[in-house]
Amino acid sequence: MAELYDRYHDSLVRLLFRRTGDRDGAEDLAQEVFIRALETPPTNPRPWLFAVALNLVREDGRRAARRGRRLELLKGEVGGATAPAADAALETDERAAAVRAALDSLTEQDRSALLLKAEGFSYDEIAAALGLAKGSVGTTLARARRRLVESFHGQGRVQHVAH
Amino acid sequence: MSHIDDGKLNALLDGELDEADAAQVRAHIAACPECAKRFDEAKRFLAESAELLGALEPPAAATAADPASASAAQPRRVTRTVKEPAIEVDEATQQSPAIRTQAVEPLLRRPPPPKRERRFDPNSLAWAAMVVLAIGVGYLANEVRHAREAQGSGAALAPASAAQRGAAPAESGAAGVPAAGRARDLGAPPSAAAGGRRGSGGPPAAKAPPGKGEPPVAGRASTGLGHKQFQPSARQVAGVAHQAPAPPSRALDAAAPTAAAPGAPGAAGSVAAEAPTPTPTPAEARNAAVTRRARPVVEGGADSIVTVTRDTLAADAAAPAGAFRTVTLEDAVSSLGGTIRLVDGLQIRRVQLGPGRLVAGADSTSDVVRVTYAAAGRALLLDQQRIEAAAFAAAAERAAEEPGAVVTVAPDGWRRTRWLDRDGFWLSLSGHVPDDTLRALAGRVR
Repeated sequence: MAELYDRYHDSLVRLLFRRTGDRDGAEDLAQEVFIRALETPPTNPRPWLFAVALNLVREDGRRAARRGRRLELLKGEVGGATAPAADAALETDERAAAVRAALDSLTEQDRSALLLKAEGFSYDEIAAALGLAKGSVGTTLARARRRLVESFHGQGRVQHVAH
Repeated sequence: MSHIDDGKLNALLDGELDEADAAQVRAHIAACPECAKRFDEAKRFLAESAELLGALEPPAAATAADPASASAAQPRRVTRTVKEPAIEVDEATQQSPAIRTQAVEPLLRRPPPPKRERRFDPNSLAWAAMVVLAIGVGYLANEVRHAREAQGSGAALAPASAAQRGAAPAESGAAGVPAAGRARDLGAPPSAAAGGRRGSGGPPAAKAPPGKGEPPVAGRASTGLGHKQFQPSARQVAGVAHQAPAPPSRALDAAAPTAAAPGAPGAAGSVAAEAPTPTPTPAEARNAAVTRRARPVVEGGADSIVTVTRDTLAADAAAPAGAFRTVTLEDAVSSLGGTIRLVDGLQIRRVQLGPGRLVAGADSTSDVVRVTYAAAGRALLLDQQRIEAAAFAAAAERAAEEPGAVVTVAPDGWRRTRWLDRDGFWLSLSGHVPDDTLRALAGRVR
């Protein structure tokens, strides 16, 4: 179990952070995942751990989304307060917020597949974690990648027009 | 030949096609301008989506619960996922190297994210104040109650918190990791409880139609998981809610008596005296980098803090054969011959199996199933064995006929009642709870 923790903790937290936008919340959820793994040792740990994590996020979804939005708002306020030296950082934050918005616009399945792939999952593992047929993973990823990119650039266009 | 679909193009880029398929797809792309165009597009989407996700790196992990790790001298190595841009797709194989994971020193590649200033939400301050106040009042009430009880019974007077700490290390198998799972969580990943079970140990399944159509978001969100599944369990521990809440830290860990505890007061005292005080060393504090705070409990139940570290995980995994080990509810039921006794209305926190010699009054030649509940932040243990007919008479000498008829009290306040039910279950219910509560709970064992 300690080995599982060593091997997957950082990866789980990164996925959960990308999914929720909340660093502390991601840590909390990762802990919950490992506690469950202790109670019910999984036979195929990697898909199991990440599937449980994604299910916890779904269950916690609305709260997490609210938290994330609040964090982004706070971050914006903080950026404004310390603006002179923080242009680059602010730009990074704005980009991250835009990526997150684009990610949020995906369906749960597309988003999960994309995040799992980003953690190095194979198609077999993604299929196992999400309950998909292996043959549909490529299609899911193709759709997810296209929509993420298009949604990201779509926001840019909207903002540009608005300005 | 028909055109290659986007799924297959992406599978090629991700290196997921076998040689024969890959060669076939590459040949088609070479001959079909339309598919070649879509292939280029797929490469661009792959590279750009990877780059976008790269913008969502979690900030460095120094949490408030872990000041030691923040000041640790050693730089923390983190794993960062680096995606290949489309132009690096290998022209020979038409595959991107997909994702490679590198261990990098974070400060070498990019500046750390700006330190996020913590701002306090007035609402959360008010909430925190209420929680602190409630815990404080509860703790004081608990101290007073314990003092009165100790004076009344003539037992040795010891602060409740010290007694709790003292009992903690007695059970090696359960040390350190209070389980947060609920009964239906045991033995199945979350969505299995909602009907999506996919075989033993299998992952939860999102019931979405595979393939082309975009699955409805709202529909899936409501069918994937019941929201109740992970809600706080305050309502379910309402049976003992009148008991003053315990201090929040280590509440569940502080609960495991040895076989000697109730029967031999002196031994229990020595256990308490030998109890190590949980003073964190810097290494331990660093290890405790991650602290899971329980979700706020609306109805005044346990506000436990559960800390999981690599050490505690290792300790549980490496529990010796002679100690309690966590098992699934199904395993426990089967070890008892197909049925189990549970406290009606309480929520299971953990199910364990261990040798009978670890539990006072139990048959030392067979295993004991231990079901742990949380009552107002403290553990309540229901130990049970199935007694063979031949051993029934001997077992009857070690237990009363009715639940709650006899309650033994250890010097540290740990109360226990043992009985034998008509179906041949030897049962022991114990915890840091008042006599009447223990009797009431024993009466709810079904």
